[in-house]
Amino acid sequence: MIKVEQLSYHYGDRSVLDQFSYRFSPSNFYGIIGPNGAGKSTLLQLLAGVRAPLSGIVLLDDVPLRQIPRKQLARRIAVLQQGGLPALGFTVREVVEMGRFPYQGWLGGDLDNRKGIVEEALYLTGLTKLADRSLEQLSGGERQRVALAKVFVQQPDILLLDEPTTYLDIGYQQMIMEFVQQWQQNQQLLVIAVLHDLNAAALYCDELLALSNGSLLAAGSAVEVLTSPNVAELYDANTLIITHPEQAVPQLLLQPNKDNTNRYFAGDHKQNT
Amino acid sequence: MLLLFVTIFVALSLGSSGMSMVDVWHILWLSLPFNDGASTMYSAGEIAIVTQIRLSRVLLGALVGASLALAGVGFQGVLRNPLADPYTLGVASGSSVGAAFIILMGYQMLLGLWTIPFVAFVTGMITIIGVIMLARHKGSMQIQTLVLAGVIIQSFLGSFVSLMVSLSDGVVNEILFWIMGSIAMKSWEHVYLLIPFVVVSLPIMMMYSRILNLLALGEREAAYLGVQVERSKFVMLMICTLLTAAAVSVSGVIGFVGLVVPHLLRLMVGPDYRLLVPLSAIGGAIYMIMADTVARLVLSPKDLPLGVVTALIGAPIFTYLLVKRNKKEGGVQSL
Repeated sequence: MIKVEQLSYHYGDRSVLDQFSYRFSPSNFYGIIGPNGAGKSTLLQLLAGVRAPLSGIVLLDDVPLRQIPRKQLARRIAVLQQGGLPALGFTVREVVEMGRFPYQGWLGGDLDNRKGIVEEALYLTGLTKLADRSLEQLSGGERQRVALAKVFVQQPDILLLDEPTTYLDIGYQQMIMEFVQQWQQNQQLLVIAVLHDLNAAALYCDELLALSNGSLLAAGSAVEVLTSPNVAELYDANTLIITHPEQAVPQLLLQPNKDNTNRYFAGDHKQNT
Repeated sequence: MLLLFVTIFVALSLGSSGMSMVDVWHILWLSLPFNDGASTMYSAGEIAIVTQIRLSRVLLGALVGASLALAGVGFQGVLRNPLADPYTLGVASGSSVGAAFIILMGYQMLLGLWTIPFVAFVTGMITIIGVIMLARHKGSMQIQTLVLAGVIIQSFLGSFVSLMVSLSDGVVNEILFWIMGSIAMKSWEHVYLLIPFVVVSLPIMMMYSRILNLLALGEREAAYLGVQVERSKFVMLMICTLLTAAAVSVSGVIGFVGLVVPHLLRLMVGPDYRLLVPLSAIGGAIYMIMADTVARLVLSPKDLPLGVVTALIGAPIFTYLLVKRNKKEGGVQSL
């Protein structure tokens, strides 16, 4: 459905994507992992069409993405960003309604006549009671739920997530990930999620892509990608990988380095000697 | 809307010529096309005061106020910056530099009545582009930097205007008059000049009001929702600069209207631009007529500079509302 060919991008002389090619097939949940600066967010912006590739091409059903009008594209692809929405004076319902923008004519009428979908989204995300509160009265987690309801009313068939659970407590993290998973399974969405939390990536994604220095290090199931050597290469981190007792997916535990005392403070400042 | 008519009614009725309210309205009634004119009952001077001076002045005030408030609400929306207005962004100063230059050189009539608005638009547009380029850093614009850039450019251009004032001898008053801001001594021609700007801009801005709402969520968020961000921003900046230039070329630099009116409305009706845009036009008109009426009457028969009055009335109201709001919500809120 989304095909990426020979994609390259750089900021100044710092290359963030280098000849990246991949084919994302429909109704699959992809997770993109990798260290800070590996080009994950840039890739997502290229996939969303808000950034033009410096070379290479992104194809949506074999049509170059950048040739599709913005509004038409917004009916196919929705993006949930990290950090959610700014604290504004708009009410929750008003913001969720903004998700219908791609379906509205110049005068604001809904061309698809699906007014009920706003209430449905509020109900599904548990926001019905908060619907008339303004955004500035909500917590960060509640605002991210509003953002989720907003992409839901956009009715996309492709959903891009850019670290959607950053800054949220584990309750909200779980809520957001499970909502997306169920939505994905119910409506056969293509989901591509940039994730920092490798354990969540292993639990919720069908397929993982590990990006390192702008190119693909590994791709496949969580079992194939989340191996100790891969994690060490990606993050320069020492980890112990175990299998989730009930879900049969790999989960990471940090493994403290034995010679830790000398790793950063070797030299004159010997600690606790 | 009702308030606008009441304000126009009161403003028309009051004046320094000592005519009664009844006389004023009687003249206006008789001057309507289907009546045979007021010349039989009133002197030519009285008729002129009402139809030539007072009526055109009130309407002009309404149009200037509407233009400035619309420009203010547009700039604030597009730049997502509560402090943006034609004045703080330097656009008004940019436009007045152009206007002052034209007056200094004596080219006012090169393209007829449209010369000054046209030149004011060009220099205003150059100014806003300059301010935005100055404030832009690696593709993102910080609110503080933008206002800082605006203030810098504004004072830079202000000194240019002062320079031109001191260079000219005979036309000093005419340029100074621009700086002070006034809608006195204007004619119906100026009313006709401003009408198309307001009539064209208002519906376009109302069509863009939903886009302004989306932009409030952030430019990238708006793009994800299907907004053509760069094009929308460009269109809005063009329109707002045009409105500013038109207003400045007629009335000079009048501060505070573009900043205060949208904020007062925001405190009253909330952040929805679908309401803010049309209400700003009406509110700006009301505010300006009130201010001008005060300017006419306080030192009657002498006129106060209008810019002085708008700031004198505007600042305290604004402060009061801000304090009240902060008390209610229990903390400092971003506008």
